[in-house]
Amino acid sequence: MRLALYNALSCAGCDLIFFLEDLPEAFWNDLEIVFWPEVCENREEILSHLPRGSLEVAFVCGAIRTKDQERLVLSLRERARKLVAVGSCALYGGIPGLLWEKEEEGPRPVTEIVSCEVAVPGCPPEPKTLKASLEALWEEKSLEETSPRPVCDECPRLRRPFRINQLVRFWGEDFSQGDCFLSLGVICAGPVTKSGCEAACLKAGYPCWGCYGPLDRQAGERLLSALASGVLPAKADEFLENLVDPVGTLFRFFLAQSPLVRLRKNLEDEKDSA
Amino acid sequence: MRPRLIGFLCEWCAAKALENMAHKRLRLPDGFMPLRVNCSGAVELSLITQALYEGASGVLVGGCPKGQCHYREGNTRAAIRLRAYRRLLEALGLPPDRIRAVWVGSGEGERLYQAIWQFWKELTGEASPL
Ligand code: SF4
Ligand code: SF4
Repeated sequence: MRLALYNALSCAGCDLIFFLEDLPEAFWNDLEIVFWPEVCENREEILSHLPRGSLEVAFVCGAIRTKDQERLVLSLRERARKLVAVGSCALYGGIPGLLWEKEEEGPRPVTEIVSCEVAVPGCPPEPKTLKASLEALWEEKSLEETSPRPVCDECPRLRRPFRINQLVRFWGEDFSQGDCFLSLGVICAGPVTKSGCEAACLKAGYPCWGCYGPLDRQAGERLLSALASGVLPAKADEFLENLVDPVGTLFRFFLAQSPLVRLRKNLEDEKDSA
Repeated sequence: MRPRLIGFLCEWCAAKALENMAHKRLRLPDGFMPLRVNCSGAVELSLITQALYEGASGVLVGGCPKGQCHYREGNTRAAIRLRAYRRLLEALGLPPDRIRAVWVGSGEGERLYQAIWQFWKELTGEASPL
């Protein structure tokens, strides 16, 4: 099995090294890693000498920011029979995608640059998500869900009707027990995030940050709609005041794919051409 | 692209106001596209993003006057949503003045008409024929 591993713009937290013990057995047969810049030389020549389709699988993590990164990913796509994108940065732009808040042209997800046989979500993915994805890849099954469900469906916290009194930052206090985070005023992206992690963070006492990806590209607006509707009208001013970082909070992992940043670009192009 | 102003008008007040004004045969801006919605509180922010992304120059949300919502609190919620949305647009460096709310009773067609033209003028420079 000939593999290539490549990490573009990311924190390296999804690096395959963290998942080695979880790789399906098939991957260990005659394993040969021909390209892995983090542990061996990062020379593109190594890749360019390989014929088309000569790699069994290429794993790509991270978002794409530079021309070099883009060229490398295209080159991997050409040489790999199967390309696996791993982690929220590769799938949705991830945390580096937040650069779009201030930059006209931020980093793009790998999935927008090349087609991928498998996309493994998570920041980083739960080992079992990666394992299930790779096994499916092996058996040539599709894991693509036609109608994904929100994280809330897997969340153990109690849900009752509520109104939001005030926004509370997840900080200091112990929130491990209690009702749904939203009812406590803690922003939780569960309602607009694809499930699959089995609500890992919720089970650990943390709100969902949205790493398994948005249910659709307007998940940020949807979450904001829900929050604003839930807040008690008399507390609206306070709510707005405490919404300190709307972009980072509501679009944490997928700003790079938001229609709003595209819209901004369109408006700027219009201005330039006028 | 031709300028467009999308108006999400609630069926109890704002859309009624527009209907009640119809017999006067006043000219509305060519690019004004009214859409009747159940309640201004039913206008999810994702719809506004979609309208803007697909080329709307502005989005007007019309609902009942304060305290007169058919569903009691829909217009109040809509108002909070729009304020929050404007904050989001500002944070992203997008012009927040492309979004506007207007609260009119079903008998206040005239006021709605003025509000539509006022907004249109700010967006395109074209003024009301009146
Ligand atoms: S919003 Fe968060 S805390 Fe509430 S049910 Fe959904 S995942 Fe659980
Ligand atoms: S609960 Fe949310 S942030 Fe945590 S792993 Fe699941 S999707 Fe990611």
